[in-house]
Amino acid sequence: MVEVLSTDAIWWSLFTMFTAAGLILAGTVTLIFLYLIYRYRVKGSEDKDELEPGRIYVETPAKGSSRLLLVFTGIIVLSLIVATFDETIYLERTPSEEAFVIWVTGFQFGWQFDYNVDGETITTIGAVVVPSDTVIEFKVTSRDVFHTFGFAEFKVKIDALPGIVNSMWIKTPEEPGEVYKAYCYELCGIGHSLMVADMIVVDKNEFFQAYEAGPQEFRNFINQVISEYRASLQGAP
Amino acid sequence: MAGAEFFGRLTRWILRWLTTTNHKDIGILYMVTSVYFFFIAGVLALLFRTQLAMPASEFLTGKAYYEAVTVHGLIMLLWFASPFAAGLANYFVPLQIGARDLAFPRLNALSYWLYLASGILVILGFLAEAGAIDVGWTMYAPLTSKDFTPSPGVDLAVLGVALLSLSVTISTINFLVTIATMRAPGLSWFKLPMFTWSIIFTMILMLYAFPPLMVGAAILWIDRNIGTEFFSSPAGGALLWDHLFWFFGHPEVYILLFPALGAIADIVSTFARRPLYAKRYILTAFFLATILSFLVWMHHMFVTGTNLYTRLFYSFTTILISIPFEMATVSLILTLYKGKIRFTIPMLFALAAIFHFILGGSTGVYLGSIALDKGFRGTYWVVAHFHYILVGTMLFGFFAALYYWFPKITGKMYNKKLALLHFILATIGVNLTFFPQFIIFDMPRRYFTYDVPEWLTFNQLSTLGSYIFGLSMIVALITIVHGLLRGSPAPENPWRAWTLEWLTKSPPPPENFEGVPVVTNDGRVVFVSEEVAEKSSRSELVSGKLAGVQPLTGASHAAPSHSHAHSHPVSIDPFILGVGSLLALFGLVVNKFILAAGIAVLAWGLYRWLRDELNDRFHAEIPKYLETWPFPRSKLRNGMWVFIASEVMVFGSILSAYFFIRFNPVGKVLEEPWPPGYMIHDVGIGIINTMIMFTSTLSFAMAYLGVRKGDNILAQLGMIGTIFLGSLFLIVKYFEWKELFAAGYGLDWGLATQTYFLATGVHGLHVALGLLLTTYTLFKLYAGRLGPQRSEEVLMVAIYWGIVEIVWTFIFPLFYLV
Amino acid sequence: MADAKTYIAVWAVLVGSALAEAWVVLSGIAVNTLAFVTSVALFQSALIALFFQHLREESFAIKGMGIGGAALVVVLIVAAVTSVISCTPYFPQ
Ligand code: HEM
Ligand SMILES: [Cu+2]
Ligand SMILES: [Cu+2]
Repeated sequence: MVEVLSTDAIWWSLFTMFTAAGLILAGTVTLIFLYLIYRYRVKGSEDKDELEPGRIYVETPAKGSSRLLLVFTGIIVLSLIVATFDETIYLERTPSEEAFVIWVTGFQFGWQFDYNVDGETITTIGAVVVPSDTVIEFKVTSRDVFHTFGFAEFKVKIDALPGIVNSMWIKTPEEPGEVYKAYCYELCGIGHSLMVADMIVVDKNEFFQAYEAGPQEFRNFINQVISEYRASLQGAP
Repeated sequence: MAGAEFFGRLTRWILRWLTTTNHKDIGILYMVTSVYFFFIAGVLALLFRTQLAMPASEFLTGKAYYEAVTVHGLIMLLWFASPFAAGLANYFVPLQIGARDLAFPRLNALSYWLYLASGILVILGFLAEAGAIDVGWTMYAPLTSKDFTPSPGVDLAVLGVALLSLSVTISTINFLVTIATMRAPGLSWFKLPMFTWSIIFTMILMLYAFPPLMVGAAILWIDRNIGTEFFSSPAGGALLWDHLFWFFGHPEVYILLFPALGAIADIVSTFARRPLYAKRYILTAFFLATILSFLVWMHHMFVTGTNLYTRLFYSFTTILISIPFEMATVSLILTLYKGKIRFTIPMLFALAAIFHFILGGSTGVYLGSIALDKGFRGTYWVVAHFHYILVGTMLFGFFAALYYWFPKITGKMYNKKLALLHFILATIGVNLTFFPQFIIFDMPRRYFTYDVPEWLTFNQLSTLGSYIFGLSMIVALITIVHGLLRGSPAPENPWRAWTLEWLTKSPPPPENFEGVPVVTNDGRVVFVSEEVAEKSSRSELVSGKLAGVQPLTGASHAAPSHSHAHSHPVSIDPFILGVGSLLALFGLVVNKFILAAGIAVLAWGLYRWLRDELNDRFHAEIPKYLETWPFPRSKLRNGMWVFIASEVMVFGSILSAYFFIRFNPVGKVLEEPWPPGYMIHDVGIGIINTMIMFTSTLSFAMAYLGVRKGDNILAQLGMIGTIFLGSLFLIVKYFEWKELFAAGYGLDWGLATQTYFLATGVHGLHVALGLLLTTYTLFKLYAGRLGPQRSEEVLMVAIYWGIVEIVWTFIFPLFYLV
Repeated sequence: MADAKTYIAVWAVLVGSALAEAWVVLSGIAVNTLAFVTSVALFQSALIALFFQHLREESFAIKGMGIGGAALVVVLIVAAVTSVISCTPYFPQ
């Protein structure tokens, strides 16, 4: 199996690339700008110039060197476009055939998660348990209005639209134990700010063991992980 | 005694502002009103920034927070930014092109009063028990449907948006016709100042972008009040709204930006004492950006999960559009090269705006990548980016323009120290408010609470910045009031600038210039009297060698031999129509009697309007010496064609809704697939109506022929024929609708018939309007007002009927046949 | 400048094309009816614009305004349709 890159790694590499290009371009332009302001400033009340009012002055003709700058910009910008296409397509398509599928349904105001275990649906609300080091595919839809499901850390999100199912994937970290927050990113009503869910990463082997053991086992496992997590929050100051 | 006199003066003062049609007055009205809206929206921003500094508090949460955010966004964009630019444009475009006024002064006043009415409608929402609109300025479906948001505040805002679109469309007609046909002799397109150019591009953008918004708002309103389900059913729904809204929404950002950029360009060039560097590049850039701006709207839909290749195309165009803006920025910056830069207040604001633009622009490029947008969409990165553009660039551009033109508008100079304080506070405020938001870019926007500790400090910094910015606005107000009351008198041309608005008094007289400004071939500006201008040929004029004409020297020029006083006609009718629409739309939401009163006022205003029209009170030909190439020397014809372009977009939006719904796979699952038209509709009746439609247009063509030839009988017969056939068309339509409802194909049958009712309903309204126009034209004929020389007034109606017929050539087959 | 004869001729073509269109569609000859009727409508619109609206006599600038609008409508329709057509319908219980 080919190594699956994590979504956030891809995102950060693109981000770095855009930032580098931006710094080169915008930085150059800003430096020229600053230099010109400094170099051609007028000190004191020196108030003479050959431009008289009562005439229309249309333009200062362009020099060849500025055209060069344009070509340069064009090349950088176009290469940004090309560079981002591959990444985009990679992020759009779930990279592994064996992705673990979880259904996500947005509602006012919360997230419902459904696992399919042996044809039976196991539902949790407000929290989801996922195995470590696995490609997870979220099938996202909405029961009422427009929501957007996403994780800040994984740098992915997808709209939850009524009547349509969209898909989004992440690759969970290798080490279990982290808890990530899923947010809603589209204003969906007065409780929008409260549409936060927890994604708890557990050990891959434990997870699939429970999963293989059948619906009853799995439900207990999930509920236990979630209630343990919630209890740990209560304990904290 | 003194009291009565004061009262008399007060009424005269009020009446003057209610009845004025002078472009400078209207410009001031626009600016003052929009600044008023700006303060409302600004205070709202300070309120929710306060909440964000203490996220655990209950200061402003839930519904109240969302009302504040939504109204802030809506008002800032639609009722402050665009109208403020419209105010500047009103004041300065005629001056910069050497015209006496806009092409249609009375329509201009109407635009203003409709704009004011629409803004009041939105604000009135706060009085509603369920509060103002709270669904975000983007008004995403289906949250806006009545099931989820029953508040009448939404209806008020939606009607406000629709009314504003109408006002904007009227403005675009006015400005485009003015600039196309009323430029001073010798003032070619290329010589127009950048500000005027930016208004041209803005108007073109508005012309094509606002109709989809108007259609979207209208559909949303009927969804909420009549029971259609375009945006509430997933068969249309979220994605349909997204398309209509963002087709408007993206060009809207350039609508906001262009006027400020144009002003910045003129200001930079004035104070660097250099003509603009490579103006032709800047114009090319604006032109490319205008076209591309209609090809990028789907970057607001990158995470909708729709077709990947469509989105990739829009990703490509979005990143591409950064090139023209880079081009324009570089040209602006190179204007400084070899300049003699003077750091006046307007120049400081303009330079700071360019800085902010570089930052705001390059952080926007990220959002053009679908992959990066997956991280950024709906976060504070977006908020920071667009505020760097809107506040850092646009608003700073407006401040620059305000200080630049303040002496011209008021005849007074402002206090430099106060203005400098404003500049310093504003610059600190803006950067402190919005830069921290880049750092916490993971934070979702439109959240009134959060419990991530790292976000807290940055939010508090940001809030501090917004307070400083708020303070700077108070300083700005003081500066302006101080300047008005205490400022020293301003000379004609305090900046030694070289565009036309500086070649007249400060403030300019009602007729703008004494005599006709002429730009000679060697680039001088001379003034000639209207008589001389009328008598001379264009080449004589622009040669600059006419006898008796003084070249302009320095600050004052000798008044030409004679200039007749142009009395500016006043009219209260635009105000009446504004009040009428406010009452009618408000009544539509809250109360039948107010609605009836509103309609009565509207009818009264319309009657008065047409009466004046019939008496030619506002009729003014375009003087033959003005530049009009490549447009016909006719206000009416140009105006009508601009209107037609907006109509194309209105029906185009409906048509796109039709195709969207028809091809949406969700609809096919949800209800029965769209049935072939002939199963629901009677093709025979459709064909009959098609024939009626074609024949009525033929009949009107005959009427036009009659008027051109001076054959009054033919003209009369033709118009009567059109009126008869048009009415027949509507009657047939009425029975068709009735039968559909009787047969169970009413509104509850599904989107297929709802789309039919929408399309034929809007078309029917157009037919009705055409009937009114034709009847009125017939009146003019009877009143002896039409003749071969004035046949254009008939051609205008023929052009109108043409578009009504064209629309029908699509409606008939698409609904009846396939 | 158009005269009466031109107007009537254009009118006749319009009427004729509408009748023919209806016949072609209803008798099921056309393969892709949507494309067919759209082309007929475009043809009729062009006739109406050129002759009844006298667009023929206008300058390129005015022609451009209308054609520009029509092009934008095409863009809007193409984007709307292509974007939605591959969506997967789904209704949660
Ligand atoms: C006085 C300075 C301003 C401050 C402090 C400010 C602050 C903010 C903040 C914090 C938000 C995001 C609220 C949230 O997502 O929860 C916001 C939204 C917005 N602002 Fe401003 N703003 C200012 C000026 C402006 C101006 C001048 C404009 C436009 C001309 C503008 C247009 C918008 C828009 C369109 C939104 C989005 C509204 C929405 O999400 O529905 N703002 N503003
Ligand atoms: Cu939400
Ligand atoms: Cu956009």
